Amino acid sequence: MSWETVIGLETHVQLSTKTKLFSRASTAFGASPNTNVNLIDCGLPGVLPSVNKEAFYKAIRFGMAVGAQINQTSILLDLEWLLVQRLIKLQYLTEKITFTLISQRVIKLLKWIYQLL
Amino acid sequence: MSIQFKSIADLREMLDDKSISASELIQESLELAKKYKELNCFVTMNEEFSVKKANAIDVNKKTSSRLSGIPLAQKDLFCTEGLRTTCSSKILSNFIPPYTATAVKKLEDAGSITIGKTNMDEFAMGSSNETSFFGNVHNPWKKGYVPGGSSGGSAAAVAAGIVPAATGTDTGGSIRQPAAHCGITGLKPTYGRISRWGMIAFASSLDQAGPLARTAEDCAILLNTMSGHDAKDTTSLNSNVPDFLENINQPIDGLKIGLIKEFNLSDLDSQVQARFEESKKAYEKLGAQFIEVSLPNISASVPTYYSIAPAECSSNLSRFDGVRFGHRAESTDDLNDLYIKSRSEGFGDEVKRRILIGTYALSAGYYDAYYKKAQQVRRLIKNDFDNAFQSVDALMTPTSPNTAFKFGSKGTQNPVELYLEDLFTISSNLAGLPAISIPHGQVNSLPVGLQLIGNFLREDQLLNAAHIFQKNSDYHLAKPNLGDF
Amino acid sequence: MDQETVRTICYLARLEIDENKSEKIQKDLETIIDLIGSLQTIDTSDVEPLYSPLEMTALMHEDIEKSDNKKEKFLENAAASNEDYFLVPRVVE
Repeated sequence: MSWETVIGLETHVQLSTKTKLFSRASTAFGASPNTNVNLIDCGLPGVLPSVNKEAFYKAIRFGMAVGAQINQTSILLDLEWLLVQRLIKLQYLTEKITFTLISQRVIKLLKWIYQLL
Repeated sequence: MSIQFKSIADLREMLDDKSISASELIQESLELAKKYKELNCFVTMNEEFSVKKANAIDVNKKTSSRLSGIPLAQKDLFCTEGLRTTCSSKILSNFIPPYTATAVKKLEDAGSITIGKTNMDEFAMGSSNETSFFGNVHNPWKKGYVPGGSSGGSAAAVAAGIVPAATGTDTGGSIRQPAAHCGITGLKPTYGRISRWGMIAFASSLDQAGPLARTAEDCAILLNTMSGHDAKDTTSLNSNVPDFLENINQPIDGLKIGLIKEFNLSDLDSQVQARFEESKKAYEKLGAQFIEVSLPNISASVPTYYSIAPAECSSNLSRFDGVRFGHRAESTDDLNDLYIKSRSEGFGDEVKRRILIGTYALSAGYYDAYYKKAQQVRRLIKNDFDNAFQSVDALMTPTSPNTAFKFGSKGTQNPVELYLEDLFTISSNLAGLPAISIPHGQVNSLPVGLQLIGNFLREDQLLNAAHIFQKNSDYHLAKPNLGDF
Repeated sequence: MDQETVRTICYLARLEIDENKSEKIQKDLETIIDLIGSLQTIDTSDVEPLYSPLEMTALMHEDIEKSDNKKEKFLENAAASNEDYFLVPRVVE
């Protein structure tokens, strides 16, 4: 029996945006608790999030830098859904926006992140 | 002169010629709400604020807007700042929103006065208003009968003449079916026409706000104000909003109306069918032409809806966890236990059923078979509509297969029985199309509704066709006998 | 669908069902699953799913800060809070 090693790597990188991914609340560090929180972040009934344009571009740039395939269409179904995955894990939805990288790409990726830092 | 059963257009005239002041009007509207308390239309009244706003309007004397001083009722799933918003659920029975929904804000900015929040099916899940935590709403036409749902309280409040118009939301027929059962006019606009910001979500890709009123003309007045782009709703349409009021009253000579071949009307109650035939003749007399069209996949609408709507609901309702707002269970062991107990105590049976179905349909292993499959069928249904609208301007169906029914007579043994109530209304939500229900007579002293479905963004055509019908008939003027209440 | 599946779904949805209602719920769910299962007879090969009636690109927000924090009001709506936080049962021992 022969095995092939495939290593998946999930990276969480904090982006240098001024506002949050799904709202225009500040990402500044050091404010008192629950201050950089608006209606959307609070997840109140009836609110609708919107995606941060800058974060979206950064995600594409990142994808291109590591030679990943960029989907022409990404369906987020409803953006509200992304807010609420804490309780019910909708794995199918997250797959669409998570880059999964296999081993050949890892080195390239680390180099790129290193440059960013 | 009593203000009961008056339309917005009537009330505007009375306000303008000073035969009534805004304060008197609001006072009377509030008194009617009290008088017919037994109907159970309202969950929360907004008395103090309403009176204050009416006084301010009287002092200001500026009546720049058609809606200035007009009393309205809002379905209790629109968030209203400082005014309790419950979605007729125990889980939100103490929720005071810190903001106002865009649709309501626009109406209030135009001078209208929210006198109260109306009863509904819990989280808009139901077709009879029987799932409300705050009890059943009676149909003003017959005590002990359902008003339809989910916007049952709004429909009953308008039908009883307490307010000239109210807001509702429609996910699978929740504006049109109660409008039909209560003998009033209700419009579900094109998906994206009215902002969903502040509307507590049930199924985000299907939900749409709209007006319930006594006439198509009043629906046009409300739609004019409620419509328009909102940057806070990423699915809000950025297209021109025509003046819907200006556009009604055009001749309908040559209007092509499609009849859907797949809906076999001979299965319906013979009297409901007879009403339909009569209205068809009335439209023919007004110059419309009828063409039979085929929508081969339309019969799959109900199963498609009951796969998509619960899936979106299970996701949207996961935010109710007892931590930041809403009901919280007492004495819990840990955080997870707090979630489980708060949700289990806070949600009613129908809501739980739909959350469970949705969770199942989205879970690993079933996603493709149920959820994705339903979205594929949804495209087929939309394509069917696109094809039909190549040859017709609108489609006509009954709004509901039957008239209002007795409390507790449907769906208690088998939930699917009640789901079939939405047979004619669901497909326009799946395709995002506008549709209107207008009263067209009665069967056994209960109102019957006629539905017109329009092409994308063609509310103008629907409102016009409905207005012309109402100009040439008096079904919409029929009033219930409220002696039992 | 069996009782085990019902229990799993209930846990995923963070809902608790009364023991005596459990069979009725199972029956209801089966009826609804049968209803939506009827879609299997429709041929959807090569049909793209339609996730929203508007197939347009969702609007995004500019990366410009806009604060509308209403901390006090947010905390007021919580069943338990102090002046800064939402309070929940102890998570870390």
